[in-house]
Amino acid sequence: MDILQQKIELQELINDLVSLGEDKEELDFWSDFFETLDDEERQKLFSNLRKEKEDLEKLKK
Amino acid sequence: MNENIFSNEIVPQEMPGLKRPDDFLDAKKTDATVEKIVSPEKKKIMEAAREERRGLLERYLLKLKKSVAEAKEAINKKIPMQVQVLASMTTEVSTIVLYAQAIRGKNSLNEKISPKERLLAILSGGLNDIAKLLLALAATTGNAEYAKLGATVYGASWVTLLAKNGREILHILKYIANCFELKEVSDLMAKSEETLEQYGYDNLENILELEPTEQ
Repeated sequence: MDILQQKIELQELINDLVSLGEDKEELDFWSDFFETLDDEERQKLFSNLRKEKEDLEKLKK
Repeated sequence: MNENIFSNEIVPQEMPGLKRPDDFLDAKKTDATVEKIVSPEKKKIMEAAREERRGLLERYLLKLKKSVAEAKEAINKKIPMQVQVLASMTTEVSTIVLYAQAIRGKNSLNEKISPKERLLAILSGGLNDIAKLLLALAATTGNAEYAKLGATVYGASWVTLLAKNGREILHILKYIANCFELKEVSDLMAKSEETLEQYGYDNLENILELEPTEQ
């Protein structure tokens, strides 16, 4: 996945998490310097955000 | 967060009223709008996720600190050949500015900022000048290669700090073109020197104010 696609997915994740009650300002901070992270760091961030989204969505059910 | 990650030179440890990344990650945050909608269960999940992100941020900042130290060393040497080294640090420099903005609550950098942060802000702000310069060069010569070079050096914002006037900027851009092995662009810029001489090199503004000419 190239950086553009990653940023799109990141923004979608952020939007979803914000709609679930997460702090937009904090997540925007990560979005701001996402491009400067290396691949491993980006994957860790994605993994972290995806898991949080899954956990929060389970609560809704 | 480990207080040793950033030295006082880069990020003041105590700046009342200013927001730091830690504030974003602080589990005790009292943002009313957030508190209203976050249930205890949600909060527990969010705190766990934020704690993990805090670890990621700490590791990232440690890496950043090393890059900054290397960049500082290169700057201190004031050797033209360091241009190439500094170029590789540009991403990190930009990130520091983002960091500085973040700890100040994402407001514009202002007079409260330390000399170190101000320098970093200047470095970042120079980016626009270079972009404008290259656009002006593209407009005056009608050649898109300058725009291409602009994209290449887009992150090299510290260039303006090194440049005292247009001539120096041109020389530095040529040097960068060489660093990135953009020989065509380098040759093109050399050819354009004569044209630019007609307009004068007194300062950056003189060049930026050039009107596009017919080819």
